[in-house]
Amino acid sequence: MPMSKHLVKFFPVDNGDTSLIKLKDNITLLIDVNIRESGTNTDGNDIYDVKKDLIESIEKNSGKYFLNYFILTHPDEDHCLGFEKNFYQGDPEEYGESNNENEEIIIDELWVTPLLFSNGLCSDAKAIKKEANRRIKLIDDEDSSKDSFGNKIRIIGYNANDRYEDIPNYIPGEIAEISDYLELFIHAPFKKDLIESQADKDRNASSIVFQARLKNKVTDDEPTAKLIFGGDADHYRWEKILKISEENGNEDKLEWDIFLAPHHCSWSFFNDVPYDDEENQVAKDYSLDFLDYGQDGAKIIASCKKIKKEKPNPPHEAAKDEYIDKLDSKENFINTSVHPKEKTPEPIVFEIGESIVKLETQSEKKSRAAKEIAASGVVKKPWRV
Amino acid sequence: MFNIESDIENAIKHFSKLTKVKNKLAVHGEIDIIHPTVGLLDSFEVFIQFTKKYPYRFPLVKEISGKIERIPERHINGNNTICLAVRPQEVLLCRYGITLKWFIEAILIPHFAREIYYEEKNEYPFGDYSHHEDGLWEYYFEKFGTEDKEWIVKIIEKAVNNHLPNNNEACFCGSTKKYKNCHKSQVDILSLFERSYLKDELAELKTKL
Repeated sequence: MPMSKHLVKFFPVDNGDTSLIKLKDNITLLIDVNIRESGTNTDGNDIYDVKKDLIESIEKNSGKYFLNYFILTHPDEDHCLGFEKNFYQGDPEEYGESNNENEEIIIDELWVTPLLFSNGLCSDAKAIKKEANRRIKLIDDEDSSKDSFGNKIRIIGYNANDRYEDIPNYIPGEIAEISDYLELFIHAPFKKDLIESQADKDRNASSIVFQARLKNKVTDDEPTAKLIFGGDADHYRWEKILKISEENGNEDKLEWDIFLAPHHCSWSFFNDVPYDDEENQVAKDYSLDFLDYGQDGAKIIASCKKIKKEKPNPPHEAAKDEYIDKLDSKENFINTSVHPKEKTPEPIVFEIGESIVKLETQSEKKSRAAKEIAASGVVKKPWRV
Repeated sequence: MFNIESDIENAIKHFSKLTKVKNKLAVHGEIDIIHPTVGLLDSFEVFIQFTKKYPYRFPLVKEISGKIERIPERHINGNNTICLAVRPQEVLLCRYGITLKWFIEAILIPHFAREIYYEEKNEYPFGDYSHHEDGLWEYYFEKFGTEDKEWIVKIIEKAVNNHLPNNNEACFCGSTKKYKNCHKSQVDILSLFERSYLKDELAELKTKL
C-alpha cells in the first residue's frame, strides 16, 4: 500500500551499515547490508532481526520480496554480511519454492563499484560478484532479458576494465534519477582512488559516496531532505569531495539533514593519521568544513557498536565529540547500538513529508504509555520496608 | 457495614481475569496493563491476600509471574510481596477504608505501569523512596518541605502529645503569626493520623536520626 510519507530506516547492526529508503511511490533502496544470525551479540545484547523487519518493510512483485535497488558502497563484509543467504542470486525466472520459503529478496537493480571484481573478497562479497557477473553476461550476450526485473546492474565510478565498457554506470558529478521523488548525486568513488584501491586492497577508499535528495512532492523545486551516505570513505575522500564540489558550484550537493557517520563513526573521517597516534588527535579543517553543510536540526547516525572511550574502535569517542560539536543538540547524534537502549536496540526511523520526523520506537512508545498510566495513580513512588 | 465477599465480587466483575481463591480470603489471576491508545503493554500474574487490617490498609500483593526482577531496587520482597507505597501514605489513603476495585485501579495498575517503565528505562518515572526508615524520612521531608530531622521530630511529638496550637493561637515556631496563618498548612497532615499510629512512627523515625 502506498504510504503518505517517505521512510528512512537505519538498522542496528553493530559495526556495519544497513540503511533502507522507502519512497511513498513504494520504490525501495537498501544501502549496504549486515544481517547476522539472530541471538545475542558478544556484549550480551539482542541482535535485532533485520531480515524480519526488512521483509515487513518492502513489497512483493509476483509474490516475491524485492528491492528496487541494492547499493553496495564497497565490498567489505560488514557492508554485505548475509547477502548470500538472504538475497536471491540467479535468473529471476528460476526463483523457486525453496527461495520463496527462505524469503529471499530479489534485487531489481544492483549497484557496485569496479572494486567488486577484485580478489580477496569475503564469501558474501563473492556471492555479489557472482551475481553481478551473471547480470553483466546478459549484457555481453545482448540477452533480451538484460533489462528485465532482477537482472539490472550498474557500476558506480570510473571503469578501468574494457570488459565492463558496456555496463550502465554513473561517475562522480552525475545525478541518478531514481524516482520523481528521489535523485542521487554521485560524489565518489574517484578514478584515482579506484586504481589505487585495486593495488592497495584499500576498499574503504573507493566507497560509493552520494547525496540522496528527497522531495516531499513531485512538484517541489527543492528537496525536503538531503541525506549523505559514504560507506567507509576516509578523510582524504571527503576532502576531495568538498574541494571538487565547491569548485564546481555544487555546494548544495554537500548539504545534509541526515549524515551517516562514515566508517562506523571512525576517527578516519577527521584525520588520515590513526587516532592512536597521540600527536595527531586534531580534526582536519576539511572534515569540519564539510560538517558545516549540516542544515538546521541535522542529525548524524553512528551505525556502530556502543561508543565508549576504550577500544574496540571504530567507533571512536573523539569522533562522536567532534560530530556533536557541529549539531544543534547532542540528541541529534544517534548511535544505532543504544537506540533506544543497549539491551534491545531498534532501528532509527525517519518519516519524511513536509519535514523530517523521527518516529517513536516500540520501547519509547511503551515507556510513554506506561508513564501516562503511572501518572494516573494516586501513589507516585514505591517504597520498600 | 463492610463486606469483604461483596467487595471481592465487585472487583472480579471489573477484572475478568481475577478469581477468588477457594476457602481463602485471597484473589488470584492476571492484571492487564492497557493504555487507551497504545493498547496492552503487559500482564502481571498476582496473588492478592487480605489481612485483618483490610480495608484500612492495602491487601498484600504478590507478583508471581516473575516479570519483576527480585532485587531491592525493584521494591519487591523476597516473598514476592510488592511495596506499593510508603506506609504513612498508605495509612492516609486507607483511613476511611478502601475497595478492591479502587485499589487495583488507583494503586496496583499504576504500580505495574511504573514497573513496565522501569524495564524500558531502568528507572522509575517519578522516582522512588529509599528503603526502610530512610524512605519514611524522605516522605516527611517532602510533606514538611524541610530536611531538618530534629524539627520534624519536634512537630510529630507535639502532634502525638496533642500540643499543636489551635488555629488562632501563636504558632509554635516563635513567629508572631497565628498558627493558621503560619505553619498549620505545612503540618496539618499530622492531624489526619491516629495518635497511636504517629507514636509508633515517631519511634521508628527516631531510630534513624
